[in-house]
Amino acid sequence: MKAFLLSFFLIVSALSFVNTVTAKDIIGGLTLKENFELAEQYPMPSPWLLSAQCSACHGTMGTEFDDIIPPLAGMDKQEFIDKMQEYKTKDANQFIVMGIITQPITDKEIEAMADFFAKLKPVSRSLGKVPYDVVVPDWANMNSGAK
Amino acid sequence: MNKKDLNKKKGMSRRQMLKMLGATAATYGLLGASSKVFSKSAPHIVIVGGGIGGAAAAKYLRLLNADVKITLIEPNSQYIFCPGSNEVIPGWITLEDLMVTYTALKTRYHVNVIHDKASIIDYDKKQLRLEKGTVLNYHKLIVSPGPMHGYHAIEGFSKALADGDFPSAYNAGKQTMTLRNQILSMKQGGTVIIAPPENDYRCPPAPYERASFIAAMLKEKNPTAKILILDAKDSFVLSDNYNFYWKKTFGYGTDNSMIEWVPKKKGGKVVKLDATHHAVITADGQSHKGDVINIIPPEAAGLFALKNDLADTQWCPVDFLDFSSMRHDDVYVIGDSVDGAPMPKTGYIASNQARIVVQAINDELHGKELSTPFIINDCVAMAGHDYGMALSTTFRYAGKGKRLKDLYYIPEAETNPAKQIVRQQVAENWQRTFRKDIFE
Repeated sequence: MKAFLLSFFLIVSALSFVNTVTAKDIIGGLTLKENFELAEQYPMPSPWLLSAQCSACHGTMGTEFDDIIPPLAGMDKQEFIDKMQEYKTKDANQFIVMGIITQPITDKEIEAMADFFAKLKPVSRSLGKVPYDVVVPDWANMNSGAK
Repeated sequence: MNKKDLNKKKGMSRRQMLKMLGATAATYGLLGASSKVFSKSAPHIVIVGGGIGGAAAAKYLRLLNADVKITLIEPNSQYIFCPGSNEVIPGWITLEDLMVTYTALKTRYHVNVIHDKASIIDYDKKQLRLEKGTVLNYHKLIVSPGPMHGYHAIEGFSKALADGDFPSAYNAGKQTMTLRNQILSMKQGGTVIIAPPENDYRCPPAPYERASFIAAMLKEKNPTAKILILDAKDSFVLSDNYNFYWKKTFGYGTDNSMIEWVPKKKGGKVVKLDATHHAVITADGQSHKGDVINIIPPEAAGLFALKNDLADTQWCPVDFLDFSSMRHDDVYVIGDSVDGAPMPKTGYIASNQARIVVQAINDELHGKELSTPFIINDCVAMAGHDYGMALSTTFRYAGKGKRLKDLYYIPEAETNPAKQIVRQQVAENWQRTFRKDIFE
């Protein structure tokens, strides 16, 4: 069942979707325009903080591959950017949560995250327990802060 | 009250800080239970509460900084993860599946975990007193006590009754099992009353997820039973998804519906428990008898935060740049106790607030400018074993003294069964990974 779901996920995520947000979706708070204006107004959050937002689903700093949700650590920079941009621009059918998470994230932020994950030790994309180094002292240095 | 001067927020050099810490450094050596030996002049970060917020703070601070001394205060030796705990009610999983320990924090992350209750903060001396008498000097204090359940806001209700025949089951544990057993042994055709509170409270969709899971359980074992949701509010998050699933699965909206939802404006708000007659009384004076009564009381900041003057009224005000308390210096508040609107109270958010705090503390230790905060909250929830859903919200910094601003997407109900199941699998995957992310 899990193997089926995984391949299903991979197939579906490889497809391009028509960019349509249906009328029944509920979108609220800031508009995307206001969101991007706010992002411009203040220094970009640190690459560490941006990337750490992924931990709850993708494992600590993107190092987990449990079943369906893939690891991010060690992903090629361009591959990460392409995937995120694909979600942001083409996956508006919001099949998996990535299509909606990426909407308010700026291109600059996506690139900073891509850079961050590309520098981490890669995690095997095969299923099973993934061992990882828990303390990576370099993270503190990669965290260049807002300025 | 020691009102915070926001202008004082400037990074301090490591040298300045170490100098300042020198005076109290002698104390740190006395507490070393962790196997790693820390410098006597190492800054001491104390964390109150070993739930998701506190444990995430301990682990992620260590990921950023190998040299600080970290102490976590938590009375229990294990923690039952709240996300997923509704699945214990129909017996899809057990409480044991949700149990995590502090072993990894102790051994892998060199966190000194003290199993005691935090009691009183001395803000002038920067000391925390524990119930058994230990006094800890802190450089920075992170407070993550979870919410307090206001049982007494419902007349006739109390913690004793919740621990007895009227389980709230809103912290995973013994009450969760009582609720499960009561539903299992309920007479055929009986009524389960669920009374969700007004906003804000932990995990907004949880009472409705619970109703869904209980309905699935009853459909199999007690098909003529009813679930009556008496709500203290007029709307709830993800209601389009739940309504869709309930219609499809439990005949919602028909005379034969297993689930009935009564909003506040139609007399849903429960104000009183009549324990003797096994009934609840709503604001309009109507009495509803229930074979199982599950009142989820309103919440406020954790008792520790209230006792220590960190809350103004119901919740704790913070500076959203770094979640430092607006009421006392060198103290940060995270998790459900924060006056964080528009952020909902979720474990996901508590963990991301923890990441902001520990980065801010680490940046300050290194004399760096603080990073702009940024938070993502995703909810990958279930309505049943065959139906998952998702929502996503981002929270951006909007300037000094302002609340974070949200942008949310709640996709409409998914009609494709294959997608429904994949989303459900994603929700289960998330639960496993999230437990590991915080506690391993």
